[in-house]
Amino acid sequence: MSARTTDDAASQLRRLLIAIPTLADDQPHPIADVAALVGVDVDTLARDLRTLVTRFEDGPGGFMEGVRLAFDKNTVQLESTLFRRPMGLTPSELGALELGLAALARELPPHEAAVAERARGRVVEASTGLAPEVARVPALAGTLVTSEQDGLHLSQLRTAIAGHRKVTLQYMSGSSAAGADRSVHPYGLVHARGHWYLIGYCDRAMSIRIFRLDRITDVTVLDAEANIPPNMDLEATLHDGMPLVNSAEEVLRVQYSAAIARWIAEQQAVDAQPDGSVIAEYPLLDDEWAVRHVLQYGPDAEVLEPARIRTMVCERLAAILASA
Amino acid sequence: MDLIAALLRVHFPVSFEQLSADVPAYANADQSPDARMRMFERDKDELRALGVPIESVADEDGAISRYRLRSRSFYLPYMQLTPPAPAAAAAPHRPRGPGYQALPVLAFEPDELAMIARAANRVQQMRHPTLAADAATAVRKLAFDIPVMDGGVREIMLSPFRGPDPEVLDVLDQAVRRRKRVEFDYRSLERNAHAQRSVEPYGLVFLSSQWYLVARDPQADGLRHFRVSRISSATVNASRPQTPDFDVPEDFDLWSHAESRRAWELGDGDAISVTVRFDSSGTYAAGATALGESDPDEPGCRRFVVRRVDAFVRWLLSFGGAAQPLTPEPIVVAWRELARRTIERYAVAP
Repeated sequence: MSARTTDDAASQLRRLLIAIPTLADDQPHPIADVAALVGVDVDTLARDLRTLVTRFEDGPGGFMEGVRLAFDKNTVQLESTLFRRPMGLTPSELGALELGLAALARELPPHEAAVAERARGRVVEASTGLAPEVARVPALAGTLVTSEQDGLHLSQLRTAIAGHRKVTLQYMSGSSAAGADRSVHPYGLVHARGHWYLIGYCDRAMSIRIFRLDRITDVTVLDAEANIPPNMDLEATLHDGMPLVNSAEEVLRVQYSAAIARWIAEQQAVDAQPDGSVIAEYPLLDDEWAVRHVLQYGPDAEVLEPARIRTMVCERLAAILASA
Repeated sequence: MDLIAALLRVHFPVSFEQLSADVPAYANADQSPDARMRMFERDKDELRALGVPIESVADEDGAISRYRLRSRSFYLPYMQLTPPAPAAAAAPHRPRGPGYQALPVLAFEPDELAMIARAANRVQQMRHPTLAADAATAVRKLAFDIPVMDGGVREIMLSPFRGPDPEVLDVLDQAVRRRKRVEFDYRSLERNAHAQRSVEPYGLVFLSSQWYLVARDPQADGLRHFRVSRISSATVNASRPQTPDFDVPEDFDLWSHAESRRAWELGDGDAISVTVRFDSSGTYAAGATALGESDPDEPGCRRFVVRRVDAFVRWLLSFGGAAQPLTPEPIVVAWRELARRTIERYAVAP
């Protein structure tokens, strides 16, 4: 048996062990619904089920004693005394959930990390009795927050989003030194380029705004219900791999030296230059972000436009050189 | 499927000969008894690899002669919410048939189910096809009796990097699990070159939107991190496939490699303690003040352990003056020199 055939047979077995418990209640089921539950198309599901009752000369088919199968145009009905419960979690399924739970536990505040740990215990109990090292991939995921405060705020925001509650944020915007209160209807969370962002409707701005998590210094979940548009689409607030809902008319153009061009090109679309350097463009949402972004590359990055940002960069550098 | 069904029908260990009566493939008269036995052994091993807990049972002489699949180990327990709301929901519906009556009931708190859904969503966003499929199947199973939902929290993770090659990830998964050496072509951005690497893979970590292979490089005699998206043409050592090629040291801790680290903390340079004063009135310095350690002698300052001076002073420069190194003097000089070289780039208009 080739590796491919083995894999196909294994996949088919996994699918059947989900489909049969769903179907084996002596009732007709819309075949499209079952296919969606199993995660395959209708033809694949029908083929899988036929192998239970059809003897093939060759191939992965079988013959299950006591199984009766009936199709009509849109429904399928199955009778079986076996497999009427799903199989317990396999070691690889358990490992996948543990990976996610462990990653969450490391970034959540203690009371929620305890929930993740309890949940891990439950899924272990729901797994088959096989030694887990047999099929579990040793894989781990690092945390996505950099401070306990961010973890706490993330947890509060998730609570507010799940409960459709408004929040008040103490938020430091790019230009204001002191934080300001923002009353926000929270829509969802996006993690991009190393930062979490809250997307929500800001009462003060009277439009959708993005709020970077590490600029939030306090979150209060209010009793007031959030107004979430029924057709709200979080994906629609994204652009080119970034949450961009604030209007951006200007473009920041940056030239990166040949020494770092490969790293920049790995992350985004660039315009390669004959000397090996590359030029990249970004929607300019925040002058402070632009200055900071460029300065992190030192002499390997230069703002081409707008002139205002060039001036800001030069002023910051001059201030550093003038400091004692 | 036939083999699982044959084992589940009985509550006691059965021999291969008994199984042959229920599994037509093992009773095929066209094949020799040895060939049929090999087929059974292969099927059994493949099912175990899929997580089916088939037990081998020894007879009085210690020889393995019978096999068993306990319903209690194979089937998912009955799932229930705690506390069960209506009295009628307290007793799960147990279908008629072998093994179902003895299955235990597993009670979940609602917040545990929401956490599981959130964990599965997090795994979905890691762009690892096998893990994503496993997490999805796990949730489908758990949701057989009770809803597994994250409470409607909309969450998206974006990555600017292209995803890893699923075939490469698959090869690395196998190599890690079986502790086999793996060879691959690695694109090094530092040297802008491809090189063939042969390493002992210890584990995979997902960090900063990227998968990394943590492996021992026998040539360098040290642990290395390889970004999976830069790996191609990966192959597992095919010799002696059932025998591990190496041992992972007992004191190896994969978690320590899944810690997010700053560029200046990496490298082989001597560790330098650097004191930095942050202007806390600025917006951007606020997040950075959670990094490093507080300095009892200098309120408002943070201390950092730095191994790569160039990476550290570039990071400081990004604060545009809101983060000022105080000591040691070589770091201060390097920071100012970087500012001088950077401003020179702006001497000529683009």
